[in-house]
Amino acid sequence: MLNEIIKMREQGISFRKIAKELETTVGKVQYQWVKYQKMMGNSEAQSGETKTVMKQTGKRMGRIKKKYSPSGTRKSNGIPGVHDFTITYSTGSRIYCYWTISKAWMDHMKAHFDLEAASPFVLRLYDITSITFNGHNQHSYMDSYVPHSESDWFLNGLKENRSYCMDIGIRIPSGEFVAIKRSNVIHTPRYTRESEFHSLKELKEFEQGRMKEPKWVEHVSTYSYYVMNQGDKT
Amino acid sequence: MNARHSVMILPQFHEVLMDMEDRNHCEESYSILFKENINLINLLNEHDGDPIPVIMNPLLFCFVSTDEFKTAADSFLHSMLRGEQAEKEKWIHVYSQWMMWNKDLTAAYTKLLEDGKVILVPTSVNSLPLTHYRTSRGLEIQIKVSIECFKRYMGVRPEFFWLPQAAYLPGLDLYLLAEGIEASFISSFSYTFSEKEEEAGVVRSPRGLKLIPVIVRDGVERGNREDSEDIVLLPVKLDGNEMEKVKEFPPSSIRRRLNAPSTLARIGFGYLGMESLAPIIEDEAMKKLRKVHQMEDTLEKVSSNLEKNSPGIHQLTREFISALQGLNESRLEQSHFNRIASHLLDGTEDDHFLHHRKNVNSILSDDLLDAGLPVKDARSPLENEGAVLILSWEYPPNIVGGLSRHVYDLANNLVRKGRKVHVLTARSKDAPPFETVEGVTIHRVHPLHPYEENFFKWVFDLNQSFVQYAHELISQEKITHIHAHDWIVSTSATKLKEYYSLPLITTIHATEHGRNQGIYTELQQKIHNEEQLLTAASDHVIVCSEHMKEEVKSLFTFDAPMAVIPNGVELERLEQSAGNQFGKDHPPYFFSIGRMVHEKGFNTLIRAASILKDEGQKVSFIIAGKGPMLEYYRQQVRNEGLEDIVIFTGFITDEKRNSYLKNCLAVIFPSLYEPFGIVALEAMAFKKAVVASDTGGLKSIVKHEHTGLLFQPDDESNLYSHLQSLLNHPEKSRRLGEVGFRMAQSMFSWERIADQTIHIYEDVLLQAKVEGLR
Repeated sequence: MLNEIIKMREQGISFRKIAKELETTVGKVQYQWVKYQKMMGNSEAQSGETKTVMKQTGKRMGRIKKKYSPSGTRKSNGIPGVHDFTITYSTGSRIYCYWTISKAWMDHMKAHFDLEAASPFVLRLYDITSITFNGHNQHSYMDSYVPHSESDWFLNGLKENRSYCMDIGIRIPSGEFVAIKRSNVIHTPRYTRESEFHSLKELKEFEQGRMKEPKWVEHVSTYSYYVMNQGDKT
Repeated sequence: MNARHSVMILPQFHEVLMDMEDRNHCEESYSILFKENINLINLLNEHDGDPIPVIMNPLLFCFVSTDEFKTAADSFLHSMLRGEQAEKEKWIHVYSQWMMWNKDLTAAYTKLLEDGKVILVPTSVNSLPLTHYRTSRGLEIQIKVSIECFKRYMGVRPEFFWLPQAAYLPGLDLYLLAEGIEASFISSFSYTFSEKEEEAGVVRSPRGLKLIPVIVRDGVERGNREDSEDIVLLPVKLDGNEMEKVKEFPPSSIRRRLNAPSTLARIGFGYLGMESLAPIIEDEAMKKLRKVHQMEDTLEKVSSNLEKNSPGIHQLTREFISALQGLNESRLEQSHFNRIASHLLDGTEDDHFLHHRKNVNSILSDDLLDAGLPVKDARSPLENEGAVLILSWEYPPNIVGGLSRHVYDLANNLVRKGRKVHVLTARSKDAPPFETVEGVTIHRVHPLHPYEENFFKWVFDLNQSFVQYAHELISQEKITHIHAHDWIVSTSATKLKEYYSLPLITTIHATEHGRNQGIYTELQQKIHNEEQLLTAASDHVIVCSEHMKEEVKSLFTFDAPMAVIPNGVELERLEQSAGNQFGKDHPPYFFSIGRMVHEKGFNTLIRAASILKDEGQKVSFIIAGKGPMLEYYRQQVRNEGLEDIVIFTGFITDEKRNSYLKNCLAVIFPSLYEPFGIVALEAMAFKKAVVASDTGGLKSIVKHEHTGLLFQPDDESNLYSHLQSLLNHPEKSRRLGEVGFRMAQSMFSWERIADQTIHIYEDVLLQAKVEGLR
C-alpha cells in the first residue's frame, strides 16, 4: 500500500482521494505516510546536518557530534516554528517585506489542510492605527497573492499616518485564510497637511514623566530596539 | 537659492574598505584618501567666520592613524614633490604641514576643532540608514563604535550625530541620547508634516532629542518652506574644486539651533528624498537586508551567550561592519562573518583563520570595541535540570472540561515530587501570559487569531503559536520531554517531537469516536485523524482506565506501549473547600453533574425521576453543568411535568458544586459514555454513595454494592430501583460512601499518580538515551 501512497502523494493527490482510491481510511493513509516521512526525514535530516557540519568545521567533528545537537546550538533553519516575517519602509507609502517560512512547516500545512498544489502565499495587510491589535479588530485589511516561490515582496499604496502590520499565510480549500506568521508593526509618515492630526497629549505626559512606557507606535513594534532596557542607559 | 540658507558639508570621501587583503589596492585608496583630506583641511583652514558643520564617519580617524596610511601618504607626497614645478609649491607647503602634524591627520582635525573652524558631526560607521536595523546590537555597533572613535581621536564628546540620509524613526532617539547626543537632523519635509503645536524651527522627541530640519542641495529646489532658514546639506566631492561650491552659503550655526527653543513633536519615519518617492534603499540592496538582519541576530546571540574574553567576539563585529560596507554596491559578502560566528557558537576553535582575519581586518582595535561595546557579563550559566513541557489547551483559570483540573493537579504534584514543569496553554482573558504558580511555570500563548470561529482552524493556529513559542522556550530551558494531553495539541506535540528529537508522552483522556459513539461528520473524522497522528507519534500513551485502553487500542494504529494511570482527586482539599451555603436547607435531593451533552445520559435520570414521582417519593434532583443540551433538558422536564423535583442549575462554581455534594443524599452518574469520570471520585471524597452506569471508567471506580451501585446505561428502571433502595436504607447509603471514600483515598491519590507518571517519564527518557547511543 505504501508504494501506491507515495506515488500518489508525489503527484499531489490529497489524502482523501488516495484513501478513496485504495478503499481505506484517511487515517490509515496518513499513518503510513507519516511513518514513511519519518523514516525518510530521519535519514535526510542526518545527511543534511552532516553537510552543514562539514562546511563549518571541516572534518574535525566526530560521529557523535553529528548525531547529537544539543538544543542550545541547534541551527534554526529547518525548524518549523522558526519563521521570520519582517516589514520595513521603502518609501513613505511603499513597504518591503521578506519572510522565511520553513519548508517542513509548509509541507505539514499542505498535508493538514489537504492542499493539492503549490498554493500562493497570501500577504494580509492590516490597518491597525491606534488600536491594540488582537488578530480581529483591524480597521480594514488588504490581501495580496504572491507566488509560493517568492520570499520577499514590495507593496505599494499604503495610506499616510497609519499603523500597519501583516500576516503571511495561505488560503485553504474552503476559501478561508490561515495565517502562519505576523510581522512587526510600522507607522507610515504623515506627508500632507490634510492628514488627520493626533493630539500630543501622550507625548507631553511622557516628557513630563507622568507616563513610563511610550504609548505611540514604537510601543507595539516587535523591533527589539524599541524595548531597549532603560536601565542600560548611561 | 535663498539667501538665508546656510550650509552643512557632507564630504564624499573615497570609501576605504576595512578588509585590506589587497595591499596594492589599499595603498592607492590611501593616497586618494590623503589627498581628499588635505583638500578638506585646507578648505576649513582658509575659512573665516562661524565654524562649518562637517559630517564625518569617525572610522576615517582610524584609517588615517594606521602606519600603512602614513607610509602611503609619505610616498604620495614624495612623488608629488618630484613632480611638475607648478604644483610643487603647494606640495611643499602640504609636506611641512604633514610633518607638523607628526604625520597624523587627526591632529589636524583636532586643531581645526580648537580653532573653531569646524563642527565635526559624527555619523554611523556604515551608511545603511539606522531605521533599517533590527536589533539593539546592530544599532549599538553603528552608534556606539562611531562615538567611541570620535571621542578617542578628537578628545571631545560630540553634541550632534548625523543619521545616514537623515533617516529617522521613533526609538532611535533613545540610542542617541544614551550616548550623550543632544541633537540630530531630519529632512525638512519630515519636519513640515510632523505633528506639533507650534513652529519653532527645531522639534524635539518626547525623550528630549532635538531634531534640526535640513534640505539637500541637488540642483532642483523643492523645499516646501522656501522662506525658512533651512540648512542645506551639501554633498562635496573633494577634488580640489570644492571651495567655490561651499562659498555660496554661509555656514550653518547649528549650535545656535541647538540652544534655540524647540517644540515637542510626533516625528514619524522620514528621510531625505521621501517627498520625491525615491526609495530609501535601492530595491536591489533592499533585497540584501534579510542578510543584514541575520547577521544582527547572530551578533545578538553571540554577545548574550559568550564570555567576555572569547577570542573572536570583536572580530565578528569587525566582519559585520566590513560586510555592510559592500552594501553600497549591492554586494554583501558574509562568508567571513559566518565562518567566525559558527565557530563562536559551536565553541570550536579555528585560531588560524581568526588570526588571518585579524591581520587583514583590524582597523577597529579590540581595545576600542571593548570601550564602545562593553561585553555584558555572560549570564550565569543556568544550572538547569531537565524539565517536562506539558501541552494542554486548557489550564486554570481557564476551565472548559475536566482536562484543565487534571493537568493542574498533575503539574502541581510533579513539582512536589521535585520535578521541573513548564505548562504551555492557550491565553485566557483573566490570566497573565506568564506566571509561576505553586512551582509550575505556566506559559499562556495566543493564536494569531484568537476569536476564529472555525474550531479546527483555531486549533491549527494555536498549535502554530505553541510551536513558535516552544522554540524560544527550548532554546532557554532544558526541556527533556513533552507530555501532551488530547488531540487539540496534537500538531504541536508531534512537530516538537520531530524537530527537537524530544520523547513524547501522550495522555488520551477521551476519544472523538467515544464521545460520539462513532465517527459521522467530516469534523469528527478530522479530529479522529489527529488522534491517530498523535498516538502514532507518541513514545508512550497514558490512559485513565482499562476501558480506555481497550478503546484506544481498537481505534488507532500505533507501536508505543500504553499505561493505565487512573485519574486522581485531592480528597482533603475538596473536603476543606466545601461550604455549607448551598443545598443545606434544600429538601432531600440526589445530585448529578456533567456537561449537558447526550452521552452523559441525563435523559435516563429524568425518566427515573418521573417514576419516583409517580411512586409518591418526596425527593428531588439537582443537576449541574452547562452545555448545548441544557435547554433541551429543561424543556424535557417541563414536558414531563417534573419542574418541582428536577432542577437543571446550569453552570455552577466549584464552591457551589462542593456544597451541593456535601449536602446531597447520593450522587448519580448516568453516562452512556464516560472514559473516566473524575467527578465520581470527587463525590466519594464527600463520603457519598455513588450510583453510576456500568460503563467506561465508572465501572472500574464503582464496585457494585461495595463502593457504590451500578446500573445498566440507559435503563431508568434499574436506576430507579437503586435510588429506591438508598432512600429506604439510609444506613446503606452511609456505608457505601464510607467505603468509597477509603477506596478513593488509597487508589486515586495524586501523589500516587505523580509517582506513576514520573515512572513513565523515566522509562521513556532511558529508552531515548539507549536509542540515541546505539
